[in-house]
This record gives sequence, C-alpha cells and structure tokens, in this order.
Amino acid sequence: MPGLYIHIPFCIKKCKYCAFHSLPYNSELVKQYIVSLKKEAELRKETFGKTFDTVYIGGGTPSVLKISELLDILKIINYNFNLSPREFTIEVNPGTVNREKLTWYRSVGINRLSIGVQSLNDKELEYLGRIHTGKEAVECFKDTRFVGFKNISIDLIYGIPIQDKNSWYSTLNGITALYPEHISAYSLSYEPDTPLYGEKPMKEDLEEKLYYYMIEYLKDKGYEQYEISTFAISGYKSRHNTNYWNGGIYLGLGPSAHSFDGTHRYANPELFDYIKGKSFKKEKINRTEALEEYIMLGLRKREGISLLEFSNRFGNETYNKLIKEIKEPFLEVDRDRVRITEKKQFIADAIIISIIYHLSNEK
Amino acid sequence: MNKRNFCIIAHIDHGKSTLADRMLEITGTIPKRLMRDQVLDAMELEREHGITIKAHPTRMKYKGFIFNLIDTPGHVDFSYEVTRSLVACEGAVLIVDAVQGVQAQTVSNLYMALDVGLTIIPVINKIDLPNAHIEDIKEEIIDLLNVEEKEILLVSAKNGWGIENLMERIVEKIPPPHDSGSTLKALIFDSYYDEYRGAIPYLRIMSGSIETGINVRFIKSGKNFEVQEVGYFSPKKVKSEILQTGDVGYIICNIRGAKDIKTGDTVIESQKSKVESQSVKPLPGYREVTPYVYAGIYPADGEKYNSLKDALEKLVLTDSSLIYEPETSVALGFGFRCGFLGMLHKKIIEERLEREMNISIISTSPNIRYKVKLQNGDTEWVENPGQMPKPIEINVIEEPVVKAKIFTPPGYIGSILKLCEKRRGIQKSIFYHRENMVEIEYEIPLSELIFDFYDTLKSISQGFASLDYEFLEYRPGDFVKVDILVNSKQVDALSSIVIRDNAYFDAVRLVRRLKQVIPRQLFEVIIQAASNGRIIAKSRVAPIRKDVTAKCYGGDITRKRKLLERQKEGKKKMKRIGMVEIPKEAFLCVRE
Ligand SMILES: Nc1nc2c(ncn2[C@@H]2O[C@H](COP(=O)(O)OP(=O)(O)O)[C@@H](O)[C@H]2O)c(=O)[nH]1
Ligand code: SF4
Repeated sequence: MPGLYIHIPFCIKKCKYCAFHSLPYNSELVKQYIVSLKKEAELRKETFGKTFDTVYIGGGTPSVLKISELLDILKIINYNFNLSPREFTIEVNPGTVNREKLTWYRSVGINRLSIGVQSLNDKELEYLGRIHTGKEAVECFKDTRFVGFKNISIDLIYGIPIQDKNSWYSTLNGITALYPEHISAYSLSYEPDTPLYGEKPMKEDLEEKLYYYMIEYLKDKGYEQYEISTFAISGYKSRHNTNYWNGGIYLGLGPSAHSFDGTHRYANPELFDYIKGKSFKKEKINRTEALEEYIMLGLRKREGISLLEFSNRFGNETYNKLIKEIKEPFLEVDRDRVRITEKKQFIADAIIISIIYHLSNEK
Repeated sequence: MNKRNFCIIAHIDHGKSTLADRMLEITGTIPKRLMRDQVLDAMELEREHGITIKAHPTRMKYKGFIFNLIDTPGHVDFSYEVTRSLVACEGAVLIVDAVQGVQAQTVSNLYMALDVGLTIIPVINKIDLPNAHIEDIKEEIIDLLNVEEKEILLVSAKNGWGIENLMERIVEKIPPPHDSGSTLKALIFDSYYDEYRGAIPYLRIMSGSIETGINVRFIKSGKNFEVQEVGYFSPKKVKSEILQTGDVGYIICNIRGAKDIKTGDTVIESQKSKVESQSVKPLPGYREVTPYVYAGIYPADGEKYNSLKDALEKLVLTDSSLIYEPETSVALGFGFRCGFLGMLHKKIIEERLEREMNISIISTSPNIRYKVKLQNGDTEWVENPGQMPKPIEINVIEEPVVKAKIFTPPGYIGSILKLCEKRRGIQKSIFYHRENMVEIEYEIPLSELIFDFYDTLKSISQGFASLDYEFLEYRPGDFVKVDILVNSKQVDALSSIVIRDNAYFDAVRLVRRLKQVIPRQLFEVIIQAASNGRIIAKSRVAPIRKDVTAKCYGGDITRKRKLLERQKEGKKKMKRIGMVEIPKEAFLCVRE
C-alpha cells in the first residue's frame, strides 16, 4: 500500500519545541517551492512508481497555504501520479483555518484531518509557543465537524514540565468529549537548537504515570492503542502511518522529506538546497539494517511482529535468536505474534536495542 | 683498552636521540646524507610504542676507539632491567636541557647510575636556544653531582656544537672496561626477538671472549647452546668473528623462546667438564624476574579465545617477563590469568593485545599472589581472588612483602614517611646517601605498593623521588574475601581479597563505584557485597523508566536507526551476566 507524503515547510511562527524543518510563511518562497515540487514530482514518477493508496500532506503547517497555493500542489500530484486515495490527510493547525478553507478541503477529496491541538491548557500552550488557545482549538475541531469531516485525528503532547496529572486529565477529558476518531500523543522532547533545549524535563516517573494513565483512560473511552503513541476507534487506524510501521513503500516529496522504495532510503535536502535543485541522498538498506528496522518498527505496534513472517524474511537462525530474547515481563507472545507488553511500552527503545544487539552478536 | 661503553641519561625531549644521531654522524657510522630518514624512522617507532621500544646497543668508531652506546628504559616496573643495562656500561652522559633544567626522571635514573658506580659526564644541551639559562643550570648540576663547573660540557646536539669535545671527554673520563681474565663471562642485559632467528640476547663481555661455533651455557636458565653467529649493531646488524672482553654485541644460537633468556644471566663456555663449569661464578646482581601483579584477561567476544591464546603466545616470545595460564570465570568465560612485572607492564601488554594484535579484551582488577596455608597442612597459591578456598579450610593467608628503597631529596621525607606508614610499611632505615639525597628503606606489603604507590610517590615528591623494590618474604595477614553479587548472582571476576579491618569500608566503596559504572537497565539491578556469606554492603541501580521515541515516521526512521547503530556500538563494551549488562570497566573497579 504505497503512500505519498508531501512536506509543506511553512508555519506561522516556530513553536518552542519544534525541530522540524519549517520556515515562516512567505508567498514568494512558496512560489519557488511549488516550482521545485513540480520538478521533483516529474522526476520521481519515472523511477518510483505512480500509484499510491494514501496521501498525506504534512509539515510544517500545510493549512497556512492559501487555497490557490494548495490547489497548485494538488494539481501537480494529480497530474503526475495515479491517485484515488482511500485516505487523504492534511495537517491542520488551529488558528490557520476557517470553515471556508475546510469546506474547500473536503471538496477536493481530502477525507482526513490531523489537528495539532497539543493541549487544552493555555499555560501549557504558551509554554510550548503555540499560536492558539485551548478554546480556539476546540472551536477549530467543531468547525471541521461542521463542514462534515468524519475522520479526524488530534495530536497531543504530554510531559510538559509545567503540566501535572490534573491538567493532563482535563486535556484528555476535553479531547475525548469531542469524540475524535484518532489520537496521537507524543512525549515532549527537548531537541538541540530549539528554545526548550536544556530545560529541566518532567520527572520520569511522573511522565511514566501520565503515559500509562492515558492508555487506560483512552481504552476506557473506546480507543484502541495500535502503536506506542497512537490510538483510534474501531476502523479508523491511519493507513498512511501504518504503512510506515509495516516497512511499506512511500514516496516523500518536498524539502527534507524521506522516501523508501523497499531497498533504499532517500533523504531530501532542506528548503534552500531543495529550491536550488539539489537532489536527495540515497542509502541502501542492507540485511542487518533491514532486520533492525523491522524489529524497531514492528515492536512499536501493539500487534507486534509475526513470528512466521519474521522467520520467512530473516531465516531460522535469526528467528531462533529472537526467540531467545523474548523474556517476561518485557515481551509477550500471543499465538504467532510477539510484542512488547503493555506496561513496558514506555521503555520500548531500551527493549528494542537490547534485542537488536543480541541478534547481531550472540551466537 | 680502546673501548668505551656508556649510556645517555636524559629526560624525555632533552635531546637523547638527537645527540645519539650526532654521534653516529661524527663517527661516520651513518653518513650524513642518510641521516634524515634514519632519525625519522627511529622517532616514529618510539612515538608509537612509547617506552616499549628500546634501541639496539650501537657500536661506533672514534679516533681508534670503539664506543658502545647502550639504551635504557625508564620505569620502576623495569628498574631491574635498567640496572642490568647500566652494569653493561662504565659511564653515562647526563644530558640536561638548557631551558628546562634538571628534571625528576633524570634524577631517578642518575641515582641508579651512581649506584652501580658509573662515571658521569654532565652535558648541557640546546645551548643554541635564545632562552637558554646556562648559568642557572650549571648550578643545578653542580648541586646534584658535586662536580666542578669546568667538568660540565656545553653542546647543541641540533647544530653539532661541542660534540667533538664530548667525544674527547668520553675517551678521557669514562674508564675502559676492566680486563678480568680469559674465562668467558658475559652479561645478558637485554634481548629481542627475531621471527626467523629466535630470541637474540645482547651481551656485554665481562671477561674472555665468545666466537661462532663454541658452546655456551646460560648459568641461571641452565641452558646450553651452540653459538651460530656473533656480532654487533652499527647501527645495522654486523656479523663479526669474535666478541672480546669489554665488547658489547649479540649472539644468535637458535633460542626458541624468550624464557630461556633471563636478563642479568651470565653466559659462560660450556665445553669444559661439568665440575669446571660449575666453578665459574655467575656475575653478581642477578635477580629472578617474577611477576608481581596478576589479572585475568578475557576476550570481550568469547569466540576470540583462540586468537587471544595465539596473541599471548606471540607476546611471550618477545617479552619473557609475561606469564599466563588458562582460567575460566563464570562471568567472563574462558580466558587467562596473567602475571606482570607491575602496572605499567600490565598496561603495555593490554595495549599490545588490543592495538597490535587487534583483540578486544576485558581485564579484571589486578591483584597480588597469596600463599594460603590450609588446615590440612597443604599450601595453595592464589592468584585469582575468585579461587580463594573457603574460610573454614584456611589456616592462614600470607601476602608478599617487599623491601622498598626510596631515593628522595630531603624536602619530601615527611610526606613520604606518611605515605609508607599509611601503606602498612615498617621503616627499616633512613640515611643521607649523598649530599642532597636521602635513602629510605621500608618493608611494605606488595599489595600496598604495586598498584598506585609509585604514582602517589611521584606526585607527592613532584617527581623527584625514585623507587626500587625487591621481594622479601611472605608474611601472614588477616584477610577476607569479598564477593560481589549482581541481582543475587555472584560475579566471580569481581571478587577481591581485602584486609579484614577494611572489609566493610572497601565493600561499600566498591558497590558505590559499581553503581556508578553499571548503567540503568530494563529492570532494577541490586549490587551486593558479601563476606563469609553475610551481606556487608548494598546498592541499587534504578531501572529505566522512560526510553521511547515518541514519533517514528518517514525521516524519523532513518534517524532512529542511526541512533540504534550508535547504541549498539556502546553495548559492545558490555558483558552480559545473567540478564545484566555490565560494562568492561566495571571489572577494573575492584582496585581503584
Ligand atoms: N634547539 C635545539 N633543539 C634541540 C637540540 N637537541 C635536540 N633538540 C630538539 O629537541 C627535541 C627533542 O629531541 P630528541 O633528541 O628527540 O629528545 P629525546 O626525547 O631525549 O630523544 C627535538 O625537537 C630536537 O630537534 C639542540 O641542541 N638545540
Ligand atoms: S506548527 Fe508544527 S511544524 Fe510548525 S513550528 Fe509548530 S510544531 Fe513545528
């Protein structure tokens, strides 16, 4: 199920925690960007294949684009690729859309929204440097429903140093009261070269509590956790993201977008180089790397890894080593599948690295 | 006699190699034209291998005289080897840098040279430098050696100034070798290993002569050999017919292992009847070189056991003072218990294994060798604390005690005595040896001396004190074994033997240290120290609570994989014991 991703590297204002590649919106730059995007699409369709099942327009803040600009982009992809996507998502930030824009999104075939709400607590939003309040975020969500969107995802952030249990519970409460079909919740990270870098993070055990509390809470409200940070009500898992975690093929267009064709990964340059026409970096994925990615991505999913598929792909010897690494209380096997236990998801990386290390080392 | 045998004593960078090069040049041993490459080669090797590489003794001809320049190493681990090299000389050229002045290391070596009775020729080098303060340095030297100003030579090894003078002074001042008869006696003062021709000893002929075809006997090792070749270095290996009294050179006699060559051994002719052979007395000063420090060395990757074995075999060919025996550890698998002269020697061997032989190793904390008298009357030698018998089987544990000689300028006596007392030393004597040099003698348990004593001594004396020690005897002590348990599993490689009175303190220190080096894991790690089945100290490494990448889409995947790769490298430095990942350095924590 190949996926097409388009990166829109523009925002209104940089959030304090954000390490994504994005610049303040500027119509001149957008023009140049669109010219380059066109060239890239024309080039890539020749080598990469043309048919995609999902489209995801991410950023940045794609919703800062004017309708006319987004139209140009849609024309480019429609012209160059065969698209009849079952899932067509655009990322939206409160404060950048109104009902008119949203209506237009629907009219061009976009059938899923991902709204960057992050929190409903204004102090926290300010701490994060977001441009909207909690109330505005809720209004935005209501608008999307008003114009008829039936598949909406909300992004949240926990582990904000000024956050406490109560504020997190009330954000979760407020969000679930809106009944979004899908929720992604990320732990706040402190990336180099961002204003938050060097801040004192929330205490680990509190953050751990917030995380596991969320899992319980959302389960209770009818959301199924299907990946470390991702929850959905039945039938609304994101196909586009699931494709990443299944090791599927995807083409990423736009500056700093990444692609994977099954054997190679491609990394596009950042905006200015992209506009200058600089090409991607290409890297072949060897067996070890493929194995590592398979485990790393597979174990992020609640459904885990199919042992049968694993042994088919990587052979019996590696399979036997994997079996040896399956230890309570970190991993569990359910029929054909191995997965991280629910209560150890918050140390998933440590579990994954331990497995990967022992797969490649011990006899 | 027209022979002059000498060495050069100098602090590093004061110009020993440069001066040697000038000598080679002025004597025509190496034509000036070829000099440059020669110098560079030698320097590179030395830089790379630090103190492990010693130059060959080099023969030069000067105005009808034969000069032999003999190199010496410079660390307490090898002090015995240094004295043997010095004994092969009659004199020493003392170089002092005209800018830096007398340095501590020089003083230590100088004391040793004076001790074996060498004639010293003091030289101030680098007088060409604009910031040379010759007058001050003259005074330093006069103080140190009690010489007259006119005896101090001024040279620039770089520009060749004063070299001629120095050569004349060597002829004039350094006594010729003493002619002590026609019975062959030669001192083995060093050796090296040639892949094709075996172990090759360097000899100083004390009396008599040695030539190709004769049969020789090495008194201490008790081995007999037929001499296949004799010769000297100038600077390349040169075959010759004969080496005579006073000469310095090598012999080749197909010696398979370095073990047969004992530094300080005496070579005699072995053709005569056994009785006659036995009547030849060995040269004085020989010391059996025995390892003082023991440690386990294991391949980091268990599969590399055989490579490690091969590597040790190879090292022993070139370094006879290294010993090793296979051992097994529950924690570390198959490896070797190795014996070393001292901590520096240990470090050199470990580095050679890792760098030259390319084997990643885990070494355990070093310890000494205990003599354990059992209840049943048997005696056991214990070189690995993990193998100490059970307390109820033990009658008494004895530890090696050494006689330590410390030379120091008087100013540091106070702090040195304090140090020795703290290390369970028993003072034997203090006396003023020469004008401004004091000799302090102590009996000290080897375990107190061998690990960090030398470094401490150097630092409290600003480098001026020097140390030499010699095994004395085994003495009983009150010891207990401290075991370490990690998540209830005993880790034998972390066991140690400590003095009973310090056991509690040592155990607490060790579990704290382990807590610092053992990283947090998926689960809680409990570290316990136990003695006689009782837990005497405990610490805990809290489990990781959070380690998760929140987002993992397109570009995150590549980033995450790169990160995993780096973390995987980090893990290579770990040993898995039970479920717990223990970093290599943890095994060195016992002695820190
Ligand atoms: N200016 C000057 N430099 C010298 C002289 N002798 C040696 N050097 C320099 O001092 C440095 C150390 O000399 P070297 O012979 O390698 O010292 P070693 O470590 O004692 O063998 C080198 O850079 C030499 O070129 C000298 O007489 N004058
Ligand atoms: S809106 Fe998103 S992409 Fe833009 S600055 Fe904020 S977090 Fe970064």
